[in-house]
Amino acid sequence: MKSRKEGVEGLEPIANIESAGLPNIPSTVPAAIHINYRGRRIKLRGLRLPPKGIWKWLLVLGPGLIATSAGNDAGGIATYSSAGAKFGYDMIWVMVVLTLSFAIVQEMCTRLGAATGRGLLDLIREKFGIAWTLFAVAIIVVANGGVTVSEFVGIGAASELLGVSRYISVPIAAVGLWYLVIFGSYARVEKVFLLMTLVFFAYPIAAILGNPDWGAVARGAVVPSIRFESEYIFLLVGVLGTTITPYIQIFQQSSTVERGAARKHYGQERLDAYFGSIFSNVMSVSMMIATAATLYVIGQHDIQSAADAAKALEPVAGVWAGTLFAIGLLGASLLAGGVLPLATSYAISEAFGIPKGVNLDYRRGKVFFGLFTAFIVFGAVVALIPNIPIFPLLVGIQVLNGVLLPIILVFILLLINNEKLTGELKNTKTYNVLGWGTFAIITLAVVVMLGGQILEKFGIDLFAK
Amino acid sequence: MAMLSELLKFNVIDADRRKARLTDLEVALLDDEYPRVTAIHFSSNGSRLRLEWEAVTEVNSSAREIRVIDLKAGRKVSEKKGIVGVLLKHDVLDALIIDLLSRRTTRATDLRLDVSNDSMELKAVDTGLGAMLRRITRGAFRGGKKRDMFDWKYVEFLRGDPQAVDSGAGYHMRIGRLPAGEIAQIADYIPYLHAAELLTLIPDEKAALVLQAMSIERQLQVIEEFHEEQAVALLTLMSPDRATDLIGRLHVPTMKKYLTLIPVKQRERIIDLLRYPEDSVGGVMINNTLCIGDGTTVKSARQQVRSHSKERDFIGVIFVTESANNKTLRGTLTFRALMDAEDEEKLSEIMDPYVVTLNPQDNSVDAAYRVMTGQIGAMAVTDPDGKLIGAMTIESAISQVVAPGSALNSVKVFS
Repeated sequence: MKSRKEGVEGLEPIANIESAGLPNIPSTVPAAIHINYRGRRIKLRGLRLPPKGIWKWLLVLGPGLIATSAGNDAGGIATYSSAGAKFGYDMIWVMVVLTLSFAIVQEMCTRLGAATGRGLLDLIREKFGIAWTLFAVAIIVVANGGVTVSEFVGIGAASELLGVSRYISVPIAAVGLWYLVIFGSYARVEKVFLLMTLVFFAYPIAAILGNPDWGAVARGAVVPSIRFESEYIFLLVGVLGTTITPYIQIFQQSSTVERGAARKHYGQERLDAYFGSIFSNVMSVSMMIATAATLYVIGQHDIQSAADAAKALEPVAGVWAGTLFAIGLLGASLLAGGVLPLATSYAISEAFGIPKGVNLDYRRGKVFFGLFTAFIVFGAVVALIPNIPIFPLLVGIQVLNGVLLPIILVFILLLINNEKLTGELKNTKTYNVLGWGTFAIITLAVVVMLGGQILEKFGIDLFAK
Repeated sequence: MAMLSELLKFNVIDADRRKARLTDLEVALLDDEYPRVTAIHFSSNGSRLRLEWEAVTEVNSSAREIRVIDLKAGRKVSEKKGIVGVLLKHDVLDALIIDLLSRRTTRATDLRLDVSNDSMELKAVDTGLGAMLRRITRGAFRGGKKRDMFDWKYVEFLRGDPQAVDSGAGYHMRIGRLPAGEIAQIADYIPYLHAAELLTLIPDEKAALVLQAMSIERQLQVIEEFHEEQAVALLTLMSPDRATDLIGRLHVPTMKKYLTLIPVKQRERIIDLLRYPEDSVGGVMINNTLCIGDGTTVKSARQQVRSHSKERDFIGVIFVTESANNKTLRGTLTFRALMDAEDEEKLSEIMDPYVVTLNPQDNSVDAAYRVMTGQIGAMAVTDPDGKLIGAMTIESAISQVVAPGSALNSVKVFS
């Protein structure tokens, strides 16, 4: 008689076929746990066993790292590079202080998402009503639409630095991002976005290639210095506004919800938020160091964009430094080019109660995916218009985001302290002190920025030129 | 008819012409399909007060007034104290609602009430742009489209609190009339606390079907929100393969605890299935198959099918074994063949002895294709001695080959 596994099965009555003799119970069960049952020790599948080794840390990473890294986009690179080129290492301390505030804000959003299972705009609509929601949505749509354009401009500029025409790279990037979100699951989108964050390592390498004075770097990081010059103040406010931006909070909370974080086992997500904020700001500081060590030293202070920085770095720090900067810009713009339209689609869907989420199939998520598609198309098409005045646009966007940011921060703080919503996950006193402190700093910065711009229109300069 | 946004601009005036501002309307959701307003809330001298509807003498829409006997009779309330029903402005306005007719979620932007002299009833929810403009312009915009109005009778309003039912909150409960799969589709994308609350509105048997039709990530979030007792009840009612998938993902201490609380039969099935990796046939098979000895007559077999049909997950294919105690597989029999056969015939005479089987360690996706391309309702899974230990059903097979996140992942229509 032949073995059952050699094809006789189904041709002869089963009663006449001999078994292949394969073992019944597998000897190894992945991620196994043991239980004692009726005197027997049984090995069972337990998929929630805490991961070990490096996986323990890597598997924690997700929305926090993605959202905060997306903040280092084309506009962010331009601001940080400009800060380094103009003021050397003098602004690094700002980033050190800001890291704490950034981490606090991002963690609160993560906690709010896990505690309520709802996005930020969901909660704003439910707790603060339609008027505030529409106000926030209107600003988010305009500001994020504009920043999305700047991301595709960044993709085009970076690809041209690397020798590929923007008319090729921008459409490919747009289609690639669109395909990833429309046809992928959240888990896949998260993996791809996480991989994209690796590109930020180009900046520390570029900084090292710039051969900085590490002693001066350390001094810049721990000794605060403020110059009462309009350029310094505006750049300082710019650094603040670029680091803590509404779309980062919106994306972090919504994607935490979509990842399936739950209030009963909240903990790991906190590490993600902290790590993301630190990682993102270390990269920002690297950009400052790279330009401070090279461009500031030779007196080349005027950096208008991230592409300018990459171009300027080449003759000073070598071809590799410039190329790395360009690669970083490409990766950062790609990441933000995906995150921004997603954050906007989340926000609009939440505000109006529309089914949302990357995990939805297209049939159920028509509006959500339609919004995402519209933002990608808008960003890519506008970015390809020759000589588009992106800088005046970005200044306007910065103002809009500046207006929205304190309001969003107040909402976050009020919501996280609403015990009915967050229960045991509400803010501790320390968190509240740090949270409201951040709000105060941000509001002051926004008032200075807006006030300064208004007064400038009337010919009054608050600070020395 | 009046919209809530308009009513909230009304003044409350008593017989002595004392005046206060209407701040909210309280309804008893449980009372009727169209809940009546049972109390009015108003603010007076910085206090939040409540008056029973019986104190209202007239609603004068043209003068924008609600006349009451005595404003001083109002009782102080706070968010935590003194409120019996649901507040239309505070609780319902802007909340996430489910429109059962279109099976989708939306937000209540305005509410339409039927107003007469002696009563007010909640009739519909306005979800349109018109309602938004009406609220933002404080009533200056008066338009709106009929298609944006959802009949309250077919609206389920959720609070985002899985324990709300226990605290006596009122619901329409109409959602329970929808097929389990459709409820699961809705529960998959609403916030997880709302999804957990939704499940508490449905009888346990259906709730178990809904739970197992949700995505596994959502199942986990939802089950963790339930009381231990509730969670165990649902795990017991779920099909063993789906319950195994869920319990295998729980945090280890919870998993061990639930395994001790689940009734013996279901517990043993789950423990049995948990011994296999997720990507193996053993990990996706069902192990409460219907098997009957080959010497049994058709008449007796039919009786056995009838008496066991409820506790078995899948009865489309009957597995014929050597005897009731000896599970050595002898053949298979479709449900139709059993119905067509004569009463006195024995199963060994009508069964199909040419059976293809799977090993529990086979790859689940390869096996799924064998089941589907072979157009077999369920393929037997046997141990090295040829004894039946379970079956891979067409439903498990489909779930192995569709894309993650697809609604077909948890199809359960042949069971």
